[in-house]
Amino acid sequence: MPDADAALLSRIARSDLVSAHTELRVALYAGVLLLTSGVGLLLKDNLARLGPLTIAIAIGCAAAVCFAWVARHAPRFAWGETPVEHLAFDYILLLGVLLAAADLAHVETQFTPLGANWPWHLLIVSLVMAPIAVRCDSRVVFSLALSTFAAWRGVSTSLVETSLWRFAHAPGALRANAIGCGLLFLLIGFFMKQGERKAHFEPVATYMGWIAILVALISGMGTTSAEELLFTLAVLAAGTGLTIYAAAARRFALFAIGFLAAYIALCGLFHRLQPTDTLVALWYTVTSLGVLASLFLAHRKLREPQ
Amino acid sequence: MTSAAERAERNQAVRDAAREWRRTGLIDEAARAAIERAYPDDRRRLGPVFRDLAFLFTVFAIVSAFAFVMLVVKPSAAAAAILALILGAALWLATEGLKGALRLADAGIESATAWAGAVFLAGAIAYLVGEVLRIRDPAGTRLIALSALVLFALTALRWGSTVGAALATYGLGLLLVLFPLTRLTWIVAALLLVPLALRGSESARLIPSRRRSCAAVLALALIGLYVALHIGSWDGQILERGMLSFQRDAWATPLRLPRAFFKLTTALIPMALLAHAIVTRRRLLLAIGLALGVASLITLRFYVHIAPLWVVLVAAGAGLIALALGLRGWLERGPERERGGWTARSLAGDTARGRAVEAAIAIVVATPSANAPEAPRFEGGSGRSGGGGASADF
Repeated sequence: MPDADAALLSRIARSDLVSAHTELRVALYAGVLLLTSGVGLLLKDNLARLGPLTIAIAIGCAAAVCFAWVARHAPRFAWGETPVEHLAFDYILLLGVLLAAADLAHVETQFTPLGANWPWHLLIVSLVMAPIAVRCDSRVVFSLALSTFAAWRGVSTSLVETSLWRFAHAPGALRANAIGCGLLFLLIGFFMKQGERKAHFEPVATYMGWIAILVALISGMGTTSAEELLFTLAVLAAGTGLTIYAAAARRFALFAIGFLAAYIALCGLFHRLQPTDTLVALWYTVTSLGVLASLFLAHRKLREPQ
Repeated sequence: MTSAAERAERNQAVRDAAREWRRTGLIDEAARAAIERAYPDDRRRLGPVFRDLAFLFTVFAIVSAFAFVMLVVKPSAAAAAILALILGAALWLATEGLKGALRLADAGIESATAWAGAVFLAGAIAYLVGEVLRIRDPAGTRLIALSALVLFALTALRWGSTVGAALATYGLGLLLVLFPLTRLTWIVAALLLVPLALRGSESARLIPSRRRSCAAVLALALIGLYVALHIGSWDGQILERGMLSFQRDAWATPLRLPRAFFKLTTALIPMALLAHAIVTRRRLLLAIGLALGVASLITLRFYVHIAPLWVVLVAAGAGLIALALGLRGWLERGPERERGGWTARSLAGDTARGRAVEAAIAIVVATPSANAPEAPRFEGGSGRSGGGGASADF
């Protein structure tokens, strides 16, 4: 090892040199979230006092300043991962995108250019965010583009519990939308990876896609009707398929998602037999131990890195 | 912890550091491999995903097995408590075996048995004290709190559980609430714990897991000190009023300090922590100081109405961004891109996990409300529409 590197490592080990990189990132991210929260409140509470046009122009100007800063610091475009020189780049970009989106929503709410088709502004926001994310190589903006697209189709990917609650009270159309969004995200991820076009974005699309599909399918599970049985079998098939694929591809987080989904489906099938409490307890004891044994066997083959 | 397990943990820390250096590009693959050979691993470990699954299903198996026995045997209350005691002790013995003879480490199972053991033992003791021995308050509650504290402290001491250390410290705070002079005892306990935990968190004589445990104790002790000296807790008399029925009358503190003292400590503790952290280059203290600073600013906003909430949020957000940008620039312009031993450069190679967390937070916090398919029509001014975090309920 060169002396300079050894000296640097030794300084780090002795805490003679400490990085504030994480703290600065957290501060920037918290700043963005606080600022956009404040803008959200401004839009909600101060329309009458400041006037919709003033607010729209002010937020638009703030977004423009952010984009100007981003344009000045943006790295050259590449389809691969592009290292960013400035620590704040991702956060100022996120701030600009959120402010612009808020401004668009405000304009839509106040001046209703889309009329009854107001939800389409979510699609517009999503379609604008996606190329910005690709140009600026921002995974955060890309994930927002996907979740905003899902929101346009009525699928809240922001909170799984909320999603489940919504599924329980919404028509089947919502479930179909979620599955559709999930499949679309999986396709997007697939083509990004195959075409080597921002291939490092693929995990974002794939994880969101699988979660949307599995949550939609699980929400249809039950212990009584034939339709519920179909959903249970679909979860079992999807979960098992995902587990096998993820094990082959050594994608361990996907493996866990598929594994848990398959286990939930198996338990769902068992509960259709209307077992007694004692049998239920015995089922979970035996299957948990079986799962543990199979996890250790799988790990011997897959060797997940530490 | 056995000496073999301690050696394995120290070796693991060296290998982790080597992997970090490799990711940063400070060493090459040959150097990393040489380090791994020099500090070999004799433990059976699982990767993070398998470990979490193993933990989850071990807990599931233990709880289900206990429920099965309860349903089959249908024991009396006292017998159930004794069964839980036996199970807890058996789980702790199993932990010893898993970590000792079977050489498991970071495998999920051994953490689950240690945790479940502590919870079953604590639950059984609570049940025995309250329902079988019928020891009345305050002695009963104190006994339960003390037993929980001791059990969690044991998991920290024996198996290096950081969460166990944190829960034991939290338990100590709760236990002190069950006695008179709570504010005073909190302050004294924190002042005793802070220097000890600080030394422990940096002591090379302690193995990494015990250092992490000390860091957890340090963080909670500082938070406890801040709460005891906080103007809001003084005004609300939250430590004097007591939380349980038997405390209501007798808990008045003899502390007759002026209110201004608590105003001062609310402002000064975060600042003192920050200054100390910056001078001594301690990131943990920096993080705690920043968190307590935010708490003090929120307190200020609670007591003094400076401006409407949206102005405060926008100003705080803009201020935070400007401060971070300014600090980054100041550090970058220093000689060798550092000042006083601080740098804005990343010294850790892998930021993938941090970026995943950022993306997850953005999805949770900034995604607009979903447009429900059955939504009949647009209602102007309802604030339900929104893009990229723009909805009114964002």
